[in-house]
Order: sequence, then C-alpha cells, then structure tokens
Amino acid sequence: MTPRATQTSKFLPLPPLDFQVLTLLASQELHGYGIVQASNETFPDQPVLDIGSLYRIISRMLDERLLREVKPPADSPNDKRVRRYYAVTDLGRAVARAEAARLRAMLASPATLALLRVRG
Amino acid sequence: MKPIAYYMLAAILRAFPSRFRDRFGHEMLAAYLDQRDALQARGERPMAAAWRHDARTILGLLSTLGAKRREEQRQLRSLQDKLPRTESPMQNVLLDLRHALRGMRARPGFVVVAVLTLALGIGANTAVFSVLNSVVLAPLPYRDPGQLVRLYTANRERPDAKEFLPGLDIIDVRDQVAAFSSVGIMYTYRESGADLLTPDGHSQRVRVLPVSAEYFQTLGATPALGRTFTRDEERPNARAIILSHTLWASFSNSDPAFVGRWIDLNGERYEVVGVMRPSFADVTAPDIWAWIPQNLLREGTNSRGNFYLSAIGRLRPGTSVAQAQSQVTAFTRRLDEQFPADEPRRMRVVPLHEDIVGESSSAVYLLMGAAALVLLIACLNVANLFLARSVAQTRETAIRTALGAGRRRLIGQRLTESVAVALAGGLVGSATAYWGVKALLAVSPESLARAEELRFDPLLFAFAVAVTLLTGLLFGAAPAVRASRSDPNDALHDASRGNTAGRSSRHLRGALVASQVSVALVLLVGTGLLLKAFLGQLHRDLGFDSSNVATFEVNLPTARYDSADKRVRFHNAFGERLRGIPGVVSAGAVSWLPTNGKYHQWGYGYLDERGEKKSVPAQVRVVDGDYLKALGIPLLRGRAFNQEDRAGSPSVAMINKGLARRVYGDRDPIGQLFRTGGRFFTVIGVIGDVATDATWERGETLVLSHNQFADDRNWTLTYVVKSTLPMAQVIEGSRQALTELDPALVLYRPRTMDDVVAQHRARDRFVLLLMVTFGAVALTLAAVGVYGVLSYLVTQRNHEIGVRMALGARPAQVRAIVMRQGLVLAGGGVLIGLTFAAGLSGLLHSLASGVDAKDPLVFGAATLVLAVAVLLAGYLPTRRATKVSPLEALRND
Repeated sequence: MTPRATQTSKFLPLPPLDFQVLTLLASQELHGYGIVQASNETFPDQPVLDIGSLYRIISRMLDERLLREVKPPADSPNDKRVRRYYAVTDLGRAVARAEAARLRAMLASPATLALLRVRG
Repeated sequence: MKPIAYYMLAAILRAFPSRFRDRFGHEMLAAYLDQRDALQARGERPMAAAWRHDARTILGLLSTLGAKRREEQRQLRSLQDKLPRTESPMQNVLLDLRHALRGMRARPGFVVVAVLTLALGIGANTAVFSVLNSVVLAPLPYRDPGQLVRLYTANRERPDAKEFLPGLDIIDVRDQVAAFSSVGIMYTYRESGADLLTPDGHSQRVRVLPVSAEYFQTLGATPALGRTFTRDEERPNARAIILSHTLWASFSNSDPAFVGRWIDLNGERYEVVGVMRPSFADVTAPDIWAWIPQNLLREGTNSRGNFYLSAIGRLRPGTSVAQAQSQVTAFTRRLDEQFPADEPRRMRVVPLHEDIVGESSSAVYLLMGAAALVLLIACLNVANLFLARSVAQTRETAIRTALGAGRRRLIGQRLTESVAVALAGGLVGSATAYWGVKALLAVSPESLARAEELRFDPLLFAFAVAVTLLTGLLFGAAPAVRASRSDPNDALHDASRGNTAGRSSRHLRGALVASQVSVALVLLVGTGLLLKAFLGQLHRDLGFDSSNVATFEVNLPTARYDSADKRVRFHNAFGERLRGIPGVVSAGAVSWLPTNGKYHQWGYGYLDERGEKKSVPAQVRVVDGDYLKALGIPLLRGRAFNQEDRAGSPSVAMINKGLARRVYGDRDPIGQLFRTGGRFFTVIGVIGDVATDATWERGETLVLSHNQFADDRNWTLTYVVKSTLPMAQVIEGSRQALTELDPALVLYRPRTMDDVVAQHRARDRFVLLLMVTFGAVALTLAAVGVYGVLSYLVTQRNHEIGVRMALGARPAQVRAIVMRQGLVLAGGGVLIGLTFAAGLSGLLHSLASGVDAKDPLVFGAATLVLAVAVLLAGYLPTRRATKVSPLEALRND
C-alpha cells in the first residue's frame, strides 16, 4: 500500500454528506451557500444540506486537511456578508476519489446488481 | 432589517464552543441570509417558503449544536484518557476541597467578610421570620380556628372600636343568632386577681377568668379531668372552679382525685369541678390560672346598658364571617325596636386570629421588610465578593486552562470554594439565628402577642441558607464558567494589562454597590423615622408624673371584708400607715392605673341644656387617699375629695377636662348632677386629662371616692406611693405596713410607675431596637461593599496610577481619581435610595403610629450617616492608591 493509500483509507467509508461536499468542491471553489446551491442542483434527489450540518462538516474537514480555504474569486459579490471560499486539498481529492471507487466497486458487485434487477 | 430567525440563529450560535463560533459564526449567518434572499427572489409564495426555510435552518442548527457538544465531550474524554494521571470524581472533590481551604487560608479577609455577611443575612432573617411564623402566620391552637370570631361593640364615631358587650344583648345573641354553633361569654379580659389559699396556709395571687358554660366548647377544648361549667352555674355564688393544668399540678401534686375537692379562693370555698389539658392555652388571656362561672342571670349587673362582657363565637360550618355579621346586625336591629337605646346598637364580628395578632402583625411585617432588605444587601455583598474573587482569579484560571485543565474541573473547583464559604456562613448564621430567636424572646416577653409560642424554625433557616447559597454559587460560578470558556491567551494578556480588564464585571460590581447603598439608605431612613417617632412619644405628656412612684395591688378577701365599712376602714388605715413611712411624700390608691387601658366603662347620665336625658360612656375610676397628689394630676377647678366625703354624706365626684368639655361645653360643671352605677352624684372638681391606654388616648374619665363607693363592690385597689426612697425600700416598708394590719394579705405585683408606662412602650422599643440593628448591619455591609469595590479598583489601576505618579501627579490628584469613583457609586445609590425611601415611608406611616413620613431632617441625617460611612470605607483604598510606588507598578507590568 502506498503512503497516500494509507492516508485515505482511514477516512473510508466517508459519510454521505461529506462525500457530497467533497465531490462538489473537487470541481470548483465555493462559499458556504454556494455549496448548498450546487448540492441542490447536482444532487437533486439527495437530502438538503442545512447550514448547521454543512459548517460542522466544513469545520471537521478543515481540521482533517481535506479542505482548505482559498482567496475569493474576483467576481464574488462585494457586500458586508462574510463569505469564505473553500477548495479540496490533494488529500481531499484523493479521499473523494477513493470513496467513489469504493462505491463503484460495491455497486458493481453481482449481489448489488441482482438487488437492482429484482427491484427494477 | 434582518428577519427574526437571524437573531434566533445568532443566539443559538452563542451556545456553540467559542472556537467554532468565532471561526464560522458570521459566515453561517451570511450563508443563511444568502439562502433566504435566493428564496425570496424565486418569488413563489415567498413568505411560506421563507418560514419553512427558517424553521428548517433553526432545527438544523440546534441538532448540529447537540452533535457538536457531543463531539467535544468525546474529544475531551479521549484527551483525559490519554493523560497519565486521572482522578476519580471523589478524588477530584477532595482535591478541590483542599484547594479551596488553601485558598481560604491565603485570603482570610475574603473568608471572614463573606462568612460574616452570610451569617448576618441568614441569622437576621431566620430570627425575624420565625417570629412572623409563630406570631402572625401560625393558626390558633384550637380545632377549626377559622370558625372562631370575637364579638365587640362599636359606636357611630368609631365603627372599628372594640368595646365590651352589654349582658342581656350578648345572652340573646348567644341563644338566637343561627350563625353561631356556640358562643362563649367571659368577663372583661382585664385581669381579675384572686387570692388562693395554698395547702401550706399562704395566700397566692392568681388570675381568674369568669366564663360562661359554653366557653371551652366554643374553643373546642375538653377538660383533662372532670367537667366544664353548666348553664345552671351561670349565676352569682356558684362556687365551682376549673383549674389550669399548671395550677392543678403545683397545687395538688397532680392528684387525679383532686376533682371534687374544695379550695379557698378570696376567702370563699370553691369546688374543683375540672382540670384543663396542658395543651389548652387561652390565647386571649395567656396567663389565666383558673376559670369560674360568669353570672349571666337576666337581672342585676346584666342589663342592656352595662357594657362589661366579652364573647367568642364559633361559626357554624359553612357560615362566613360576613354572613354572621349580617345576621348579628339584623338581630341587633330587632333589639333596637324592642329596647331602644340612645344610639342604634353596633355589634362587630371580627375573626379571632386577626383580632389577636392584628396589633403585632404590623410591627412584624415592618421587621420582616427590614430583614428582607438586610438579606438583599447580604446577597449583593456576597455577589460582589465572589465576583471580585473570580475576576481576580481570571489569570489563574487562564493559566490552568492553558495547562490543560478541563472546564468541568475548573467550574467544579469554584463551586467547591463557594459552597465551602457558604457552608461556613450557614454554620455561623444558624448560631446567629438560634441566639437571635432567643434574644427576641428575651426582649419581647410581653410586647408581642403569642410570643410564648415563638421558636426557631428550621424550615425558614433552610430557606435563608438556600437563598444566600444560591447567590454565592451564581456569582461565584458564573464568572468561572465565562472565564473558563474564554481564550486563555486573551485572559493572560488582558489580566497583565490591568485597566481594560473585566470592564463589564467592573460595571456589574459598581451596580451592585450602588444598589447596596440605596437599600441601606432605605433601611436607615426607616430606622430614623421610627427612632424619631419613638423619641417623640417618650416626650409626650402623659398628664401625670410617673417618677419616683411605686405601685402595688391590694385585694381584700370578700369573706373577711364583707362590708363596705370594713373595707373603707382597712384602706384608710393602710393609707395612713403608708404616709407615715419616713420618706414617703404622698400615697393613694386607684381601681385601675392610667395607661393600662380601658376598664369599667360606665354610662354618665345627665340632663342637657334643654333638659333631655343623655348618656355618654366614661371610664370610672375609684380612688382613695392622695391619689391625685401622688401622681401629680392637677386639680383644675373646684375641690378634691376630703374627709367629709364619706358614706352617708352627699355623693360627690370629680370629672376630667375631656368629660367636662364633652358634656358641659363652656358651662361650669361644678355643682352639676349626674347619674352612674344607679346613683346620683354632684360634680365637685375638674381634673387634668391623663393617658388612658398605650396609644396615649385621653378618654373621658369619672373619678369616684372609695370612701363613698365601697359598697358597690369589693374594689381591688392599686396603690401609688410617691417617695424620695429607693423602690425596694418603699416596697419593703409597704409590705411591713400591710403585714402589721393583716398578715394574710398579699402585696401583689410591686412595680414602679415608670415600669408600668415603659411596658406599653416595650413593643415600640423592641421594633426600634431591631430596626436600629438592621440599620447598623446594612450600613456596615454597604461600607464593606464600597470598600471592596474601591480597593479592587486601586489594584486594577495600579499600573495607571503608577504611570500618573511617575508623570508627576500629586497624591491629592490620585486620591481624587479613586474617591470620584466611590462618590459616583454612592451618589447613584443615594439618589435611588432616597426615591425608594420616600415611597416606602408612606408605608411606614401606615404601619407605625406617629411617623412623619416626609421628615426632611431624617432623610438628611440618614444620607449624612451613609455618606460618612462611604467616605470612611473609601479612605483606606484611597490612601493605598497614593502609596503606589511608580517603580513597583511599572516593574510589575
């Protein structure tokens, strides 16, 4: 096992909301409300992220160095509201990728497929 | 404008751990607002969507808060698990206790002040509330005490008067008013002394109350032995007696066979028919030793015009006092039609409990208010002390936090300290309370009704302890919680800098001290008003001179002194012997002493200017010898009694100025004829008014001569002996004279006239004593508070003062800085206090008679006393401020 794999494996399996946030931030830098918005658009069938849970996740993932804070982009609205932008770190991206791979492997197993067929 | 939910969210955020809140709080609120804006921009039923969103966000945040807290706990626990040394909770408590004790030893001043403050607050309150509890609040010691009422006569001028009842009227009420299940009738509650012959042949003076047959039944009492009276015995010469348990025990050595025996009372033989239970207390006449039947025959003394009886009624179950009153009123209206009187009858129905504690209750409520204020000041002081302490410990707390102390441990330690101090205070306080109740008992034997039932109440004590404990905990622990939550880095930084540290707590402490000063001022003003009223009463003219006068009672047993002639001869001879004692200036006797209240209120019947028959009530006093001279009562017109006024010569009387004015106006009363007690008298003299009762009321008084009126009844006379001798010598000489004349007689209740008067002021003096104590305690506590805040201030501004002095500030300027702070606090307190005091003095006026509620002198003096105390309290810290060495102060930084 590579050192990176060791680092990622301790985060797995990732809680669904954590995975959701990491996935969203993997493609773009977003502020808090931006994450909620993007989540609603990208995962319309998933439960809505409320602000409390969102920031608890952000706080934890910052501590775990899965996320980092980045400078606001030039086009961010310029009012008095505090908006910090977040992006995934390399570790965060690796963890998200590892979780995605884990989920894909699980979904591709014959047992899951059989389940889906019966249901479908 | 921000939506309400925004503020709710902000409030919930405050409960989050500070690290999280500081990092994300603003951001989260911004995200919430962004989200809400977007919802509203979407425009489809925006309000409903917004509300749903708000609710969801709030609920979400709350559940996050819970999760976050649990997370923190988990972290803390895992951290603690990793620590090499972990203590069990019990070990922690012991450790805290040791730490607390060490801290207390290190700051003995703090501990002493805190403990004393607590002790005073707890002690004073428990003591006073115990009095309140047993004197005012406790029910009467009878079955269904709420059904008991007292019956009185009132008149048109004074509808709230409590006068005696006429015999025939009350007998009719007893038998014909349905509201009462029974009525007990008794002779006036004034003492009727009787001489009881003890088994060893001595005479013992006892107090006997003549009562009707249903008296005990009305109070719900049954005898321990024998029976109570029957209606057949409600006649004169019914020689039956019921003994109190105490008298029976001492007289017969608790012999159960004593019922049916005969005892000798006033030279006549009475059959003991019953013995009451030891638990039976006669609350309306506490020191009664025995009961005899009251004559209720429908003849003789029992008429519709002779007001001399008292009555207690028991209401039928379900009957209210108001219903009883209306029935009684309807009944007396019928009596008015049948037997018209000068004025329509007014009979009052008063709840017995109210009647008994009524007079005491205002005094006790006054004291209760004062005690509550003292407790309030004590709490403020304790709060202040603990607050100061925890602010002083901010640095220590910060260091401990920085070194990894858990919040729970930090708070726990503070609580242990507070509890230790509060417990010590409680311990001293309980001793104070216990002795306080003892002291109250000692000072107030007669001044408060039912004082004999006074006892220490553990429940109240627990209440006072709880209140002070809570204060200590609240103000000791709250800052600890706050301190432990703040960033140790900030606290360490802040604490070292001094002046900007703990600004909010300084403001809080200032407010506490200002409130203390204001409450203390309220107490001082109250004390001052009472003091002034009391001093005013001391100097009020009684109408007689009580100095150097000895008094005692002499009762002649009717059996041996069965004729008026024998009694007159005895009293003349005894008076002669008294006046013969060297040093005695004058000696006389009276049937009832001034200031002892109303007694023998009879009708004064006369013809008015138009020749119509009129009658006014007057207090009748029978006198003998030099009564007027001994008490210095002035003869204003006409003459006094002399040797010629004896049995057989024309009946003469003196009246007081008040009666003369009421009856005759400007006419000359001398020579006027009037009728009382079934006889005609001629007015021969007018004397000065004297105080009739404890309120210094000067009623209408009529004075008759014993020499002429001894045949009306066997008068018990109270002697007044004015002399230049010491009291003991007068009494000894008088006793000798009495024994020489009749060795079987008793010189009963020897007292000075000053004592007789002072006894009526005892209650006022008692209330005043307590108020002065409370005032002094309040003043002390307020001064301690001011001292505490100012010395804290000096410590806090040590650095600043050092700099100022280094830059050339003179000591006077430094003193001014500190003093100004103190004066601002005190000034604010005084202003608030004066406002409250002005409001409360009205209340005081209604509680205590003779209080001038708006006396500027008292307000000024109280303010001055307080100001002096504040200045004194401020002096020490001020002086210390000028002793600050600039070098030291700056080096400490």
